[in-house]
Amino acid sequence: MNQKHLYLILKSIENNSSINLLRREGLSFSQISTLLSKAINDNYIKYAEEIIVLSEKGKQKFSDLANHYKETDKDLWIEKEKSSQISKIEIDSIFLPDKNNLSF
Amino acid sequence: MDFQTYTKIFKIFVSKGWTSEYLYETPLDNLCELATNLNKEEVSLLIELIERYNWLNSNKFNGLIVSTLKKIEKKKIEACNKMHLFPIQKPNDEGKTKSGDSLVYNIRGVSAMVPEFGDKKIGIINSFSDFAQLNVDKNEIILLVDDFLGSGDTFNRCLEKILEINSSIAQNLHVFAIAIHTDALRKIESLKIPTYYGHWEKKGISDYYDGNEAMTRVDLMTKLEKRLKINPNYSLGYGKSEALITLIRTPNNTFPIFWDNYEIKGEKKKAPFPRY
Repeated sequence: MNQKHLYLILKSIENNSSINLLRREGLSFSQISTLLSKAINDNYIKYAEEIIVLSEKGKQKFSDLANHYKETDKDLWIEKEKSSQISKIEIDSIFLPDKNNLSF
Repeated sequence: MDFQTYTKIFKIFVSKGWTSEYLYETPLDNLCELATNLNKEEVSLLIELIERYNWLNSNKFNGLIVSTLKKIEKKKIEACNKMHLFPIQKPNDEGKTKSGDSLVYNIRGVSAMVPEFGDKKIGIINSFSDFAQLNVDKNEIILLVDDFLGSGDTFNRCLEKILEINSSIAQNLHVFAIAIHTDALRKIESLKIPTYYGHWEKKGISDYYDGNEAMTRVDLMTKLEKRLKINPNYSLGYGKSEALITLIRTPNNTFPIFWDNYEIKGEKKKAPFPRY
């Protein structure tokens, strides 16, 4: 298994972070399910009643991989929300959003 | 969607054996995509419904045909020399390819391998007009066949037409369905027609909760359907059936969030078990 993908899976479980962490790597939900199955078979993660947690082996692996893959550039910790960005307009212009794009 | 929510969906797919099915990626990808567009309350309802969902795809069909055939009473089978199969259809749909057509072919093939049916002649009735010339003795079985009977409307129209053409065969009529919904089952049982089925489909919300608990969920679902711009004619499934089932194709009796393509923020999205 791609070690970065494994690191992201372990990180996602440990922090219960958004699934987008893996989606941004270009993985589909079904591809993530394949990786998850593999990580379970390799005993990195286990079921604890309703949820999934890291096993001792998984915690150790997560710690090892973190040294290599942990993001140290703080600017990249929070991803920029680009979908709402509009191009720069003049100071005396008035911006009227398209009513079809409003979600409220 | 947080990772633990995703793993809940994943766990359901694994426990139902769906991750071993061909094309399971489509329902999983589309279901998760749908979940990412829902709030917590809606996701929680979605997960409850997936836990109850039945995906009876073609891999399971032969097993269900055999188990359903074996539900026919031994006495009847022993006394019967010939069984006639007719696909349930609306008179107006005659000539169109419907799910019952392929099922008739499968039943004929599979029944030859079932010891109890090995020596029986199997005939196929190809059209409504064939009923006019049909001569059957009292022990012959006419099986009206469909993969899924939902509201029972199609069955009723089919039955009316058959009896209009040849009412003398009424006592020979039997119903065979891979899956049947409570609504259709009640209608057919009230007509005292022997009915055999592999799976009984209940209402996904109303048959599982009482009073307020059911109403809250129905209300949440109808608001969600509206927000996703789903065709209101199919709200809660055709005839408000609240079904949670996909066979080779998903019947429109199933909650439409599972089969009707939807729209979110102006973007068209594919349903988990798309019908088209």
